[in-house]
Amino acid sequence: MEKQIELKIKELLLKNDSCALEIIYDNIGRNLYKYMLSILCSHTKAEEVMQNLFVAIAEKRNRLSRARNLTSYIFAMAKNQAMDFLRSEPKNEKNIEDYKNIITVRDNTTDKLNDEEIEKITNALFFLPLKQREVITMKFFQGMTFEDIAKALNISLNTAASRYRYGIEKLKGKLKELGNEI
Amino acid sequence: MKYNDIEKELSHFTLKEPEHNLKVQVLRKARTAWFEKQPVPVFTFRLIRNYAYGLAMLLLISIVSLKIDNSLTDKLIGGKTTLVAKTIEKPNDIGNLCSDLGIDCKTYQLFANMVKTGENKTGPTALEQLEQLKKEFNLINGGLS
Repeated sequence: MEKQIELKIKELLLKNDSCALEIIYDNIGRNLYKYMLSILCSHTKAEEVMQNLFVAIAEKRNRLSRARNLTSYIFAMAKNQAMDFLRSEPKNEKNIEDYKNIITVRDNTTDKLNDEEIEKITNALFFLPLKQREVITMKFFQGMTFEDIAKALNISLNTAASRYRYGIEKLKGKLKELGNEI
Repeated sequence: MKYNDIEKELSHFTLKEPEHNLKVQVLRKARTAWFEKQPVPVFTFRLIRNYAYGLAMLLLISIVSLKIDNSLTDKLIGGKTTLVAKTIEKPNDIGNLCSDLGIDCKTYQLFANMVKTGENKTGPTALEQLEQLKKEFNLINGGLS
């Protein structure tokens, strides 16, 4: 989210104008949803947590208006909401089938991948540590830049880049393990 | 398939979009929460005006109480305060002061005159005059000093 938009949102929050909610949704709503989807691995859960998140934003608008970095503050709220949701579930272990349900191949892909290849990549992604997976998900699946990722996760640009690098290395290793040559 | 360029392979994937229009649903709930939980205003015009009225009232009460206090004090010890004011206004009228206080203050009168006219160059020095006055005062007041 651009600095000017952040300032505009903060101004609206201070004026107690609910239009701030719509601007937040229009600018980062899609990324927030996909971010939560990558954590929760379920559309139903992601939708529920998304609603809870925006209710929390509405209720804590005074704190939000004082946040130094609004985007990272909202992403941190999203992560906390998603984690709380997972903890509240009786059985919070995600399985590979849930993960496969949220990933799809782009329509405009020229190099067609067969089902076996898709499954192998999905499996390899699923077994990545959460911190590395969230950076890779944001980079590829959400089309975010390293700068945007760093800002959203409130980490340095170097940390975002190194998490990505380690993630890619692990992914290669996992694919090798799954019987593919690199 | 070779995964030489895993980044290229990953770029073929994306996360699925929500199955329906989530925006309307999410914003409706959030707006309800927004209007249900209105922040308590810290400073409003009405609040500031009330503070000002309160302060003005306190000031008025303190002024009135001070006036009452002064008038009561004047009524109780009015004579004496008038006397003190009189003596302060006329410091040279030592005779009147001494008679009011009921003491013989001839010495003080002499001393006051001496100070008024200045030191006599031909006569005794100021110190000698002071010693003389002291003796006279002691004689009159029975050696108080």
